Amino acid sequence: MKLKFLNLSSFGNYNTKKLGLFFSFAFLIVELAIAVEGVVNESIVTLTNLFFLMSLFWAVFSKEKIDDERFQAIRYFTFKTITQLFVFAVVFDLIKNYRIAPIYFAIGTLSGYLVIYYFCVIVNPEFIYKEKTRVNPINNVTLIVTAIVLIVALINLLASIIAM
Amino acid sequence: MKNLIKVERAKKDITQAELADELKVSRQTINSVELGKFVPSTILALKIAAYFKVKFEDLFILEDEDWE
Repeated sequence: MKLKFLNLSSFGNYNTKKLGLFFSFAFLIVELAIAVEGVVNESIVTLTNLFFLMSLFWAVFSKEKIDDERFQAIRYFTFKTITQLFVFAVVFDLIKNYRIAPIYFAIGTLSGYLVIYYFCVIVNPEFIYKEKTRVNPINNVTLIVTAIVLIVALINLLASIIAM
Repeated sequence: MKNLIKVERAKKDITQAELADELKVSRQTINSVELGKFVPSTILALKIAAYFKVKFEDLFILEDEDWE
């Protein structure tokens, strides 16, 4: 059976989304300003990150004005895609040993969600609505992610062998 | 699955936005359904058919690829 729609009852209303989008944009500018100016105060950076995350949370986990089944289908596709990318990012971080702070993973995931979601809302690509799970048991995204992880792991392994 | 929503809309002389308002969905949803991009749920499809006062199977027609 296809699971094409995603409509969680815990989602906030449309006003929460508008507020979330507004504050997300505002805190994005603050984040960019900090990145350009350099770290002035560590606690300001932490607070900005927290407020940015909270704004993104509002924007992501809120409903549309008319939250019909097309938006639910787009939401389901976006959650599915961003989950795959999140897993890939975690594996990549582990392999490359970057040790990225968890809050940046959270900010990156929610920001990525918004980008993919609004891209799909505006462009409305057809493949979002066509899920042929029985025809293709392993989809292209899974294959690409697996291939990239394997290549990165192989390069890492070879580099460590050469370094020995 | 193809559909004849555009034809029925022309007969009734209503816009996508007006149909969307009647059915409590967004205009983009009606547009996506009309273009055959988005297959609506059974409930929405029945609502559309009821709005135009036509039989469901006269509005939505299965194509060969739908059987694959």
